[in-house]
Amino acid sequence: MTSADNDTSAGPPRAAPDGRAVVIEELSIQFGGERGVLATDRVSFTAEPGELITIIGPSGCGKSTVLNAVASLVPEDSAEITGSIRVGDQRIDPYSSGKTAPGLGYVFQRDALMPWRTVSQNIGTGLEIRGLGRAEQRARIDELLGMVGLEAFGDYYPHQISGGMRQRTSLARTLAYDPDIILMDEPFGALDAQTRMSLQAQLIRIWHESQKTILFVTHDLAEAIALGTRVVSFSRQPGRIIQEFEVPFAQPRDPFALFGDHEFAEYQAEVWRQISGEFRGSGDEQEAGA
Amino acid sequence: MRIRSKRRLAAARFGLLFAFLLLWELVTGGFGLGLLLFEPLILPAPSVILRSIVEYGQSGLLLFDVRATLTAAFLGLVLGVFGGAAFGVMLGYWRAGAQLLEPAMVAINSLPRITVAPLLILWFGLGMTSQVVLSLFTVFFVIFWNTYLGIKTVDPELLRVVKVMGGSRLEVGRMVVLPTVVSWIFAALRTAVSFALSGAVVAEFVGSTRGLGYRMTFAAGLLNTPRVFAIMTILGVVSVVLVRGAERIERRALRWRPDEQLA
Repeated sequence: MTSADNDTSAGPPRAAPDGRAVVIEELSIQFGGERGVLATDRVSFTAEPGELITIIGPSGCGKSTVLNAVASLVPEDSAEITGSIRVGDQRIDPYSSGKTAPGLGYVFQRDALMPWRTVSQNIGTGLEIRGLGRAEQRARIDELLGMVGLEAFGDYYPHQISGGMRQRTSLARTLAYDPDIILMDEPFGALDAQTRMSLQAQLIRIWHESQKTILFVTHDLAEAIALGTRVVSFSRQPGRIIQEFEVPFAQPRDPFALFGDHEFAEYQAEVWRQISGEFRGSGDEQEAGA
Repeated sequence: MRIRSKRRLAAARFGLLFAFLLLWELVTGGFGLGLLLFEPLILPAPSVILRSIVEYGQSGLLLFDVRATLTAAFLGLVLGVFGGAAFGVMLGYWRAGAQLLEPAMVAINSLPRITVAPLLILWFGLGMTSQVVLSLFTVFFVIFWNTYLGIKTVDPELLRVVKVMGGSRLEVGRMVVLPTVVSWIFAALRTAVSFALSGAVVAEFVGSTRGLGYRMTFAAGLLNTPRVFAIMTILGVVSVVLVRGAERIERRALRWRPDEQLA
């Protein structure tokens, strides 16, 4: 966020703003009143400007809920939230009654495309909301279609294309209006292994070129390590942070090479030893945190 | 065995119809053979019916009646679609209203719709108004239910997508709710069109001074069976044309849907 940080992103093909930081402090989210479910318990972590941070944890650990809170999507009548979230120097209202912070993008688990819009029209949704002129929209959409390799599919409807293409459309739709912070909630979870890897590679490339801040939630350790510069590991519900670690592989990474790499496999096994207790379901937290 | 070629299928269907008409003509005293299995009063020959259609057309009444019926049906359709959609959207969003009114809507809906026809004649007289109102009434409920239930199928994920992008409530309505509702309305259009037509015709049966329905009861009263058949034929043709048209509009409007969703 300081001017010094700008230097690190010098030379991307497109002049993109550096992502702001996302700072989460002591965030507790309780669903369903006093006797309800505690989704997260005093979670604190920071995504630095321009960082790709992955959040991993067993399902139901509240990691998606954290993203929803950052995007002001938590229904106000269902949850009690304490702690604070800041995006840059803006304080975030986590409830859905509040406005989502400008410059924030969210790629959902399901592609969530509008079935009545073509690929191009879906990508243009955010541009339309921003009131861009037709010609500008068109130019930007074409640029995005190229970026995610869907040039030939602009006029297709979502039901006519594959799951991987739909998720790429969804990613392009978010990139289109150029948010500097992107939240991603297991966006590649439903895809087959090859498609997944190629989308991971594309994501790393796009992130590296644009230096956006990305918070990427997954329950797949290999994915978390392959993508994230840093990994934040959640415990079982109620989600607490049990580990935070820098991944020792240089960015930009190539997932295709990485997944065949011996050192990567060793590193993954090591991390897994440390956090697997949380995934076992019966696990012993002392061991997992050691 | 299945008939694969489309043209062949059409030819076979046409042939079957032709054979049926020939047989019909034969047993009703046609072709100068004097084979008369049915009284002309009960079942007139196709040739007689055809002649009746031609006479009806030449008298100028056919056009007059078709116009009257179609005008009523069209007005009923338009008013019913808009009214039903508006009411459906309203109850879709106004929870308390829906809770209060749903049983009433179910009750009125389960009433055979044409039974209100005599009442409408009492209220609105013998003119066009009764026909339009009956037509509207039948269409209204079809569209109301589709809209009302359709609103509940709005994908909450899409609402979130638009919200995160900074879309206003108006944009959420335009980009997500409206397309969802419209798709449900279009899916009901075919039914609505045929309901609109039958609504208008039934109102003409009960009390009117023009229109295909009126002319039909009038002919029946005079024991003019060929005219009754003639009007039935005309109604059939009109109905097929309208429903096919609605189908086409639906297909165009809902192009984005996977095929299996097109009923």
